[in-house]
Amino acid sequence: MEKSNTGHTAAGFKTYIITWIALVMLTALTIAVTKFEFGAASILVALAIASVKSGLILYFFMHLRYENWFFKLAFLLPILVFALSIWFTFLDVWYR
Amino acid sequence: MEDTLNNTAEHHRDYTGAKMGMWLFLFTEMLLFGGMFILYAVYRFEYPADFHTAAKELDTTLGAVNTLILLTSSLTMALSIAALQKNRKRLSLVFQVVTMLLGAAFLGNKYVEWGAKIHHGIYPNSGHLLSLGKGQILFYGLYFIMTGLHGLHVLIGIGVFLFMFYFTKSGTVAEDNSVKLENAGLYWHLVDIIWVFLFPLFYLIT
Repeated sequence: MEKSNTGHTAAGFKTYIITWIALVMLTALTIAVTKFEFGAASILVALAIASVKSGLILYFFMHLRYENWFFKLAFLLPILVFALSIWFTFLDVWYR
Repeated sequence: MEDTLNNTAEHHRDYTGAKMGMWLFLFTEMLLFGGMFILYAVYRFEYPADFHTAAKELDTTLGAVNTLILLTSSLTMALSIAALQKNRKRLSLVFQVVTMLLGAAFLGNKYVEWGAKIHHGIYPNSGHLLSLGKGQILFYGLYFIMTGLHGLHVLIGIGVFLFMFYFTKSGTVAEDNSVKLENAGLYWHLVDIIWVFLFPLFYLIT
């Protein structure tokens, strides 16, 4: 029978603190790059940095790295639904 | 025999099931905010000039401070689980209280920020706002609904942690049974992730 506790080894405090430092540095970076005018690309740069930050939060803080393959795969489902929603919405916006 | 069976059934905990349920709920939350992000994208595409003017009015410093507060609260949340799993209950409780205080500080800043906007006559359906461009009305509409719904999530998160504090103190949540606290943490981190996207889209990009 399966054990009630799936034997998640508790991550050390150090991992979390390093993750936090990385998140703060990325926040500083996303503020710093607004000084440069990338034009339309500035949205993409901001979204790219935000995605990396989310990835760090998901992987370390939200323990996705300890979860089994099901959780890692299931996470792709809402991302896929969201991407399709964006795609179909903008098909309408662009070609109207 | 029957008694022992019943006993094991009572004490059986479905860790994976609890986690799965929480993640499913978080997926619906992602799509709830996702829909609003699409709305934002469409209107930014249609009214780039108005969005540019309106976004300039938001206080980047306050937004940055709130980002730091939420990121730090996510850290203390993760640390409270780690502390509990190392069987350091007291430390875990301290981290939970710090998480709640940081959440309250976030809402305090939000109050100051919204207060200033409302003081300047910018709130949904205000005469001043309606005199601005169509895109600006949409920008502030999205600003109030998205940061407002996010703030509501922070408030609910603090409420959930009040329960977690009680559960941890009473021993319902403990070293060998921490899934409630872990799921509360997942919720808190998701609220943090949503802010990670709200911050650049409203405060940074002009």
